[in-house]
Amino acid sequence: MELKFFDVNIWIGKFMNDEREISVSAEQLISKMPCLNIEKAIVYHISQRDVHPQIGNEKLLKEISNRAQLYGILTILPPQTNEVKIYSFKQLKEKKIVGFNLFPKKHNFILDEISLGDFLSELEQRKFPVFFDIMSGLSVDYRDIYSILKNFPKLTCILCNPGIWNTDRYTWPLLEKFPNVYLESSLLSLYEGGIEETVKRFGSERIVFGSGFPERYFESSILQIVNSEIENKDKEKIAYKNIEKIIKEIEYE
Amino acid sequence: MNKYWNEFLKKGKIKNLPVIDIHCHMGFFYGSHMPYTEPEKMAERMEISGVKLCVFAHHYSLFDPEIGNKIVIEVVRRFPDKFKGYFSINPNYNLKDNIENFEKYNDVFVGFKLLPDYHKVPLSDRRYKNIFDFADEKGIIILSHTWGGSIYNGPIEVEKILKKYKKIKLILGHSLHSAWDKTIEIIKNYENAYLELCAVMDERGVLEKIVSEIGSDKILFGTDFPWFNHHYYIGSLFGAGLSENEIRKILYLNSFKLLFPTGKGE
Ligand SMILES: [Zn+2]
Repeated sequence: MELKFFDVNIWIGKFMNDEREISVSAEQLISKMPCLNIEKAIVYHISQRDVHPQIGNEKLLKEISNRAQLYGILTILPPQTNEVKIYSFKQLKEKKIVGFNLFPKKHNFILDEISLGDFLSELEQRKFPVFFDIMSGLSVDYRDIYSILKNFPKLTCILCNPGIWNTDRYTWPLLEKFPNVYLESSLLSLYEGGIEETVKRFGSERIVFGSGFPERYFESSILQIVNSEIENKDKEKIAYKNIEKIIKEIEYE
Repeated sequence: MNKYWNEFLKKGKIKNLPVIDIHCHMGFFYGSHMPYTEPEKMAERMEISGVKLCVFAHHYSLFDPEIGNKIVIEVVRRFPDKFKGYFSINPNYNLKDNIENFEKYNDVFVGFKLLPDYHKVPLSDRRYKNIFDFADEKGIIILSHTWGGSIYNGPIEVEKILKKYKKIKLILGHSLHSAWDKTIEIIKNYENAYLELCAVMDERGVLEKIVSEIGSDKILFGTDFPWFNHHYYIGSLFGAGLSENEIRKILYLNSFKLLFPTGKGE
């Protein structure tokens, strides 16, 4: 079976501290995708995190606008300071934006009902995904995630880079209690038995494929998923079907 | 693309390329859930990715001085083709009969495993001295956990050992993670130092840099299995753009030569 992939965990752009020389442009990214059978990808621009969400968001929109394979995630701040341009959901759909991300620890704010309550509540109703990059230490920690989900239990959350050591003790309680929590696959693939045991316990519907590129390798995630001890139909769900379904269910209108 | 890549994708392993994982563990670990920690299950999983041999230090032999290395003997005797053991040294309990037991079970143990960051004893501490003296005399393998910023097993401590002991085969577990320039310098300067790749391969760009500076002859495949997955890390070698020849050396040949210098012993 030749598996195709829809990668949800990639950033593009020139990284400020690029010691390892890993930065990748949108052009380089899409030239790399076909030989690995990665048909589509959800990306954000590293400037959204490291320069300013407004600067980065606009760069991202430009980069993905004429590249059909790429979808985008915009970064948000508390609306009170009015720093980031707000698009209507109709506009977001036209611009291929399929989620938001936040970096409260880097951008110095608190993510909760006080700062973003109305907004999170709207995202919850519209099934609009929020992507959290946990391992970076720049977004939120598990305590934050637990508390957000207590208040917004139906929020669609995609937990990316859940941690370098096996994080089942943090994430399995979330999968058990909150139906719209999903795990991005790359580090689950790193954990021995991570994919297999999560599928056994919660079904393959709760995992979406990601690589962590350009910080990690596409080939690592792909080789593990292809060879994982789960059924082919589960591999397909993880590789692209689950994320396609999540995007399809977003209520933009 | 690399021929090996296509075969790994299709079959999960390569017929004529057995893999040796030089840095493994076994048993429960306090810090995280590990679903596949039993030797039976580990042996089963090794089949899927063509891993022929795992050299391991049991978690209990590292963390529970009451159980110690006994458990390794039992496992290796049960699975002699799949597993070989490291004799773990906890210098806080540096028992007098360590060396005696290491020699007594020479069908089980292929080297010593040191974990200075966890045991809070620097490599150059006198409590390790009898082990290094013995290993140097016999040319024995020592796998030490190493990490860039550490005062226990960082570059300074590693160099103290390498300056003094020329015949041990010192495997730098995690390749002095994060101190990559120092890693390269040490491999260039000390013939008896080897790099092990666990936690290196999940940072894209590092392996490329190391191989471009020192080649692939001193690099050994290791994963901390059952912490981490073999296919994930094997995939990284392809992601780093290594050639078939380099991949063969890293996955198998380099460790084979180190473990079986006479060419036999499988
Ligand atoms: Zn280890």
